[in-house]
Amino acid sequence: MVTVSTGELAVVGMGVVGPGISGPADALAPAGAAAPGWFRAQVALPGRGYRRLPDACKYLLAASRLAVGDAGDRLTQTERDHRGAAVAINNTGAALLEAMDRTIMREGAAEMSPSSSPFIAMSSFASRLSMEHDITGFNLTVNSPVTAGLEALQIAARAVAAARARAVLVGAVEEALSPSQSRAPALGSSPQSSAVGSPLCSSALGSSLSSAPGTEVGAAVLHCEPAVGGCARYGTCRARGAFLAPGVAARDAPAVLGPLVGDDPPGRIDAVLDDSAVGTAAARWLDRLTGTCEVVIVPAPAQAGCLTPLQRVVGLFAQEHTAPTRRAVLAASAQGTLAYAELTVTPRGGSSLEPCAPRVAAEGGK
Amino acid sequence: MNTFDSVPRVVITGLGAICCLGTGVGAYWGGLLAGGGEPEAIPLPHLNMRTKKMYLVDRAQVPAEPSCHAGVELGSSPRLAVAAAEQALTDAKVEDGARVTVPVVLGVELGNSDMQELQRSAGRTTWTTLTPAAAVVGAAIGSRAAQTSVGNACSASGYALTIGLDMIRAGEASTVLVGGAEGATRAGMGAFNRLGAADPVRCRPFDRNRAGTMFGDGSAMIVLEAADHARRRGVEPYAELAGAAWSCDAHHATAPDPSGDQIVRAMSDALADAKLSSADVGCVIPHGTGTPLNDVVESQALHRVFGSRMPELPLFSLKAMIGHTTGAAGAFACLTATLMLRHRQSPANTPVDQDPECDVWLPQERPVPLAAPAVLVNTYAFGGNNTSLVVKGIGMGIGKDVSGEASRWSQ
Repeated sequence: MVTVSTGELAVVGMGVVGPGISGPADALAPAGAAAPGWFRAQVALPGRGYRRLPDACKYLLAASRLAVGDAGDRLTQTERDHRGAAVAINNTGAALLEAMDRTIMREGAAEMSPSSSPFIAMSSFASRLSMEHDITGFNLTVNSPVTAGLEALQIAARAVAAARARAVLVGAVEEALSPSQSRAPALGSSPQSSAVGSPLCSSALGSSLSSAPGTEVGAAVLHCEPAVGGCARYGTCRARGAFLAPGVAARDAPAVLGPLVGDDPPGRIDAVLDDSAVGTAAARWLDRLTGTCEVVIVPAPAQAGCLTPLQRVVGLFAQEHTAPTRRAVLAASAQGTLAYAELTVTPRGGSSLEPCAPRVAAEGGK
Repeated sequence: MNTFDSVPRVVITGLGAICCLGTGVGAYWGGLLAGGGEPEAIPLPHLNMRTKKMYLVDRAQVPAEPSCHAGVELGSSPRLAVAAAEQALTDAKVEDGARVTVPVVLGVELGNSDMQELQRSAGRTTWTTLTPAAAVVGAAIGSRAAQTSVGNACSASGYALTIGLDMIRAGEASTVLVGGAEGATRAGMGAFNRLGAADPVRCRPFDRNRAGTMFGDGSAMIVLEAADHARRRGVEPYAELAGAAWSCDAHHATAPDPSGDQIVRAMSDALADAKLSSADVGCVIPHGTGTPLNDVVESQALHRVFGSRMPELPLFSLKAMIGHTTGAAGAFACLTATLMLRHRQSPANTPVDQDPECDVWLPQERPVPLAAPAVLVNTYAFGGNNTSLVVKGIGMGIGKDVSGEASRWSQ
């Protein structure tokens, strides 16, 4: 089986927002603790109309502003119907969803917050991007566990190849789980839990108890264009996916990961993996690349979201090289989804990046 | 212009469905002809809200398995998805050995929410993924290809179908399983109650007394396939997914842009993608949810696309029969369009006391023969995320289950 990816994207601008992160160059650092006040919305999003948005929506908007600003005027020079957004979410609305449901359970739906209620549709986090940047081409939300961020790159590339857009903001956003949500499942079952069906799936017990705690907070956005005719200021990328069934992960890993990674691996692969059956099988398979390329295992918690893989893409693009340099990010979920993004980083010296030439007049203006 | 090396035609070779009308495509079509389903009380605790009904799958027909995937206890959505997926792949004669290369693209919004809500009511709060369904389907069918979950709320499976279409056009896959699956949801119902968008009576799009939408659960699955691939396998397609387009209002968090400009663009671009004109459309399955402004805006937009044809262009108001299946709505609509083309008719609509502001033709007396070879499907969502799809009939001798009479569409 051949794993195919369609289209290649040029990365023009990048923005990242997260605890302890001041810019793309910090994106490869271990995630910082989300101390209270780490995100200052009034600084990141000056102006009106943001106050009642959930914080996660603000992270995404702030990261998008950074990415769009980083790319100069390229987005505004793209006709609005040719602007798109592809945004990954996993746990983004989890705490909010729980809070809304608890309000229903305790007080009734009439007591729900009217400003929060639209976010029952998890695509509402991404939809706000369209109003912020006047994006009318498309606005797409991907919610595959863990791999959604890299899948968003793939979907954006395919959509650009299909002429559905000429500039796409590709992003991922996550919010911390509530304290009760991030608690590892207890051993055994309570009388209450037995009323719900099987008290605990066995593999959940195994993986959750042995994984590191922690959830992701923040957002990453890449301003992308077609590689042909676009401005590869940071470089180019393409992505593809595969599936490794958890029940047969160890057996199938070579047959799945081989075609996914290909026979010409880059100099470095950052692999975002948890200790599930799938993550473990992927890590073991990657061992065979020792001596061929550098494999950086990025440990993921059992309740990982989709931000870290895309954040690794941002971090790898932010590194300085004197020649075109190939990198890759691999992500795997306990559910079996796999995604792989190949990057070619544009060489640059020092800390300065060359600005892009303005888009041609035919594409200009709204 | 797209940059694909060649653009193969994409056909529909398999269908699967489970919803309030029953299990299987035969039961589904029969249910539409019989006038659709009726809302029932939602089987979830702590439903502290005014409107508590949905169009529900008969709970006896909700499969018990798979009950667990990679540590996630599964609610009805992924189990319904697996059942519908099996139907669709069997229908398309995609045997076990061929399934390994079949990608899955699902529209799923609050997929596993019913399980999470049951757990929450029982005092269990640990978070697990809300959207395991695509991976669950992948494992169930034995796929090693990509499994993608799209979360664009009520247009999620419209986006999923377009992604599947583009995957085949790009040459990434010869066969893609696409669909949507949703279960019951207390939080979703509560939010729509709070927003004043939950009709307490039934789902009644275009009705003068409509008061919001009413949800439905279920799963619809569609096998998309490159036409040449289907031909080589000797499988006769039902219809062609001939075109698709996306747009975004960029207007408001929940309300549609009253101008309708972007939904007009989506419809027009989908027809252009299909290389068809508005005259080639024999029926429209509107998004038509029953929310007051949406139905008016869509009605007006249809007039801009179809002009003087509107009095003779039938609309089939699907959600009045199966409820608003949110993330699965586009898949159900595409499946319905396919069955219409197979049977050459649009079922009679549920009786409606029509809003004069919604100046569309909703035939209610009897089924209406299709007078043109394509059906247009619209799906819209919060945030103004729009898709339009064009499903096109295939002429005599090619279409599945087509009787011997000559098709005027192929002449």
